[in-house]
Order: sequence, then C-alpha cells, then structure tokens
Amino acid sequence: MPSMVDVPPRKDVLVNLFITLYAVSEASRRGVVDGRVKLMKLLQKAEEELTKKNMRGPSFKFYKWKYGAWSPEAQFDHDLLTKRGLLSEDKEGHVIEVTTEGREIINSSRHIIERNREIMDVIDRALASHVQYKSWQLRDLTYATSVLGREKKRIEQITIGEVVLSPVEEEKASRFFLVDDDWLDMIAMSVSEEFRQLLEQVPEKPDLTQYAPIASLRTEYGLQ
Amino acid sequence: MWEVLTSRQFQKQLKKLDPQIARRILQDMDSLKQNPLQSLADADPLARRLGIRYIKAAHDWRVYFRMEGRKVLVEFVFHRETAYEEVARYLRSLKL
Repeated sequence: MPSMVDVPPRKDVLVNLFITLYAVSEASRRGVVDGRVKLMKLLQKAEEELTKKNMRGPSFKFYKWKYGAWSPEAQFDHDLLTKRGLLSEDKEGHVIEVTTEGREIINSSRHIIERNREIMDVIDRALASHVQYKSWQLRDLTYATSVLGREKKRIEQITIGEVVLSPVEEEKASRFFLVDDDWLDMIAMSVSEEFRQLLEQVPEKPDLTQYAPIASLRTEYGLQ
Repeated sequence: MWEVLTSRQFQKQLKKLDPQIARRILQDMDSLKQNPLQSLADADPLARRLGIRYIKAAHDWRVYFRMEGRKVLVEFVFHRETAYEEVARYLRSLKL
C-alpha cells in the first residue's frame, strides 16, 4: 500500500530548500554534482553526519530506494529550485549548478549561515569528503552503512521503502537551525509560483496613468 | 510626505479579501506616506531588478511596492503562507 509523505512544518520546508541550494553551491566549489542521485547522496551524508552529532539542520526523511537512499522531499526541492531558476542542470552531463540568481539568495543568507556556523561546518565537511565520489560509489557506500539507530542492520539488508534516516527532533537536538521571519519569507518568496506570477506582471517602467491614489480605496473601506 | 498610488492588481486583490483584513492592510500602509524607506528590500533577483520593496501588514500579509520620484507605487499584496502552501500541497500529493 503506498503511504503518504509527511508534510513538515513551514520552517523545515524552507530550511530544507535553502540547504539543498547551499549544498549544490558548496559541493560545486570542491567537485562536481553530476546528477540528482549524487545530490541526494550528498544531502543524505550531510544529514547523517549531523544526526550522529545530535544536530538538526536539514530535516529530510530518507528511504531505502533503488540507488541507496532517497527522499521525496529532497527530490522535489531540487525540481522546484530548478524550475524557479535557482539551480540549473545541463541536459548532457547532468551537472547541477547554482545559477546567478541562486547565488544571490545564498549571498543574502550570509547572516543565517554565520548564525548556524556549527551546523554548516558539519555540512561543509560532509560535502567535501563525499563530492569526489561517483554516484555509484556513493550508492555502495550508502548500502554498506548501518541504518542509524539500528547498528546491526546495513542499508543493503533492509527492504525498499523502509526509513534509513530521520532527522533529530528539534526538542532533542543539541543544535538546531536558527532562522528569522524575514529570512524565511525571502526563501518562501523566491520559490513561490504565485509570487513569481505577481512579480512578472509588474512592468519594468511604470505607467503612472495605471495607478490610483490610495485615498479612494481608503474611503471605500471607511477609513479617513 | 510621499504620495501613495495603487496598481489595478493591488485594487483587485484587495477586493477579494475579507473587508476587515483589507482595512487593516490599508491602515498599516499609512507608514508608506511617512517613510517608505523604512521597509525591506526584497532579495529576490527579479524583485531587486524592479526595485521592489515590502512592508508587513495585517500580521501575515506583505505589501510590495516601488518608488518613483516622491511617489510610492503599490504593486501587489501577498500572504506569507502562500509559498509554503504551494510546497505542502505538492508534498501531500506524493506517495511512497
């Protein structure tokens, strides 16, 4: 029976999107993210290292799948970031990279990266030590890894669809991702389809004849 | 003092909202008359190119505008939860 995918809270969804963008950026500085399978493994390794340290950064749930571990949410995040023009993927080499727009988002997030330095350092190290592997090597590495919390079970021994990695709960974590509302809003707006549509309707050069004084609206709503 | 003007898009959006919310949004927009620079620049690359800024209004609403001379051009209003809802809707539709 197919089961539903859990929908995480707003903060987690937006942090996960940002970490996916950041992971591509950071991994690309040290190697090549050639394909979504590799990206998935890099995210899994980063979260695994955090989980071992009882820290919570990204909060993807990973399941055993054909190529090791897979997170439907991480895959969706990659698709969404690509659709919104923050990530690009070349058709031939399947190389995933951050676009100029994506880089602008990361640059506008420096204060959040610094605020979460300990978590980001763990992520950086995990990405640096795995980005040089090929996707199949990462798959084999994943298969040979024990399922966290079930030390005697390697991932290759469990059934497809079983959970291989869950994030540390925020209440139990020694460190968790610190954000602020304005930053969350910024990430939300940069991935929102509706926001994009509204922005695209704004003309480059405003035609002032198309605007009305606010006073008429205020009167309409009974304000002075 | 700045002159505040609203786009047709904004007027249309406001009409679709609960009148009480619309009223509160308009009240919170008073600050635009005094000092629109006390707002936040949107980090979205396209928004930045257009010079779009925003203020928070009626708690979860964001009013997006730009400035032209001493005029404030209000372009649209957006609920901060919308983006999350878009993602959540898709995630809910996924099956393992």
